[in-house]
Amino acid sequence: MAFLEKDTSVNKSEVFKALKGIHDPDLQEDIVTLDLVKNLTIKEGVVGFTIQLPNPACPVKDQIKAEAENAVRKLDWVKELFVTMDFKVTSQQDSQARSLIPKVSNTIAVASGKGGVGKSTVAANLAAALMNYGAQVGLMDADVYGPSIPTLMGASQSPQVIGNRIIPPVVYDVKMISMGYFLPKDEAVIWRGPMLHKMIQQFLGEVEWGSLDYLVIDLPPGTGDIQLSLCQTIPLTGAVIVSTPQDLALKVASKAITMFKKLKTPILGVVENMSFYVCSHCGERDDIFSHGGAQKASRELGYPFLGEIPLSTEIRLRSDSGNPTALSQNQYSQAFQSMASAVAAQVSIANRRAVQVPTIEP
Amino acid sequence: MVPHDELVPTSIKLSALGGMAIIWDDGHAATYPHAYLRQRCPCAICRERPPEVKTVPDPFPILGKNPIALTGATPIGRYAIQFLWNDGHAEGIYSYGYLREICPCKRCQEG
Repeated sequence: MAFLEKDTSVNKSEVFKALKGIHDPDLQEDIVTLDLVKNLTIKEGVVGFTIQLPNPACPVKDQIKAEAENAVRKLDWVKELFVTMDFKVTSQQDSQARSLIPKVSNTIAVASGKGGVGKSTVAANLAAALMNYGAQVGLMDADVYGPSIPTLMGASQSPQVIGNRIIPPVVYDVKMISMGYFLPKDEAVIWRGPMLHKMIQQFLGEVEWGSLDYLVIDLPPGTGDIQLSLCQTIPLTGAVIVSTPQDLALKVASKAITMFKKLKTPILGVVENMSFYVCSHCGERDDIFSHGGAQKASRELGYPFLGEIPLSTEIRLRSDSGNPTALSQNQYSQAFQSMASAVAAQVSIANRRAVQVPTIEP
Repeated sequence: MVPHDELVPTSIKLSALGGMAIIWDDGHAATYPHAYLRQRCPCAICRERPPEVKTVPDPFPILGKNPIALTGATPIGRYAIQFLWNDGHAEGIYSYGYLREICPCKRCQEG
């Protein structure tokens, strides 16, 4: 039999050659060059391998699997084929290793210029959706003035403090921390910069995050102490900018973009929240804040558009009761899931082209 | 030409011959004498301090340790570097853009 006479390593290189025609949609390079083909085994014409995509939420995962199967089946000696799809989230190892949180692969800040555009809703649903795709996720509420993550995620447990370590509560498999946990209900945080800086450092360094693929960080609005402290304390993977489509909000959003540019934090893209409204009575759509403004602005500024989230009573009700829409089965969950997929794609692209931290020698 | 605020150092050697040596991602290389770098410390204390009067003995000799030398450095986020000095001063955060702006090499000084 032909396949027995052939050397396995020859067969292996034939499989790799066949797979070289298949590209990762985000990184736009072939899966062999990117080293995404793992555990290739060949035994008597039975071929098995795993394709390990960097994006857990890759929208064309099934298509890639089918393409890979077709390509390898074309080899005449292949009798049986087993392809497994898997993911492994990438990180910027260089800068991450020296970070305060070396076991956290990626840190994503969710920011806006203006308040009230739905940052926290986007952050909570981004975290929930990424978890739902199988990733290890943490959610840090850095909005000390209006901590809303505990409400949005429906957290009833509190963090435990053991020694100088904080054990974060886990809700929907997402590890969470928020100032909301440490404050009596009617208290307010009235702090100056150094206190805020300390809080950021504690939330990062003293919380037991463990190994995470993504840490989503919900920022307060604006370009102040917390944003600056965060960018100084860790090399962020990137920032997601949330805006409503109206001009007013976009003008302020561009200030946030300018700040991140100055701090050399990559902009992963722009999310348009409250994109349009569908009347629950008559079904007619109303573009309250003028739909598409954020998409247009992100295109003009040259940043990826990550998706549009409609304004809906359902999302609001779920947010207030701590049931993230991303985890539900309705017409709106899809909007959050595809946004999360787009963010994950931009993270792997950012990791690929990351500028490294300079090496320092004595 | 790439604007200064988009350039990033790829390697920094704190105690090279003649000072701190930087190589930038556009290939530019320069050496900053330690005293030169310290005089341009961007921290609020250094910027607000009145010019030193040489005739009066320094009442705070710890701040004028001679010769001044770098003992360490920490990257700050993605955009800056914080230098540690042998007199204990460590407040200055030098953004990459600022470091390039004060590049002491002949070409940058004249251009």
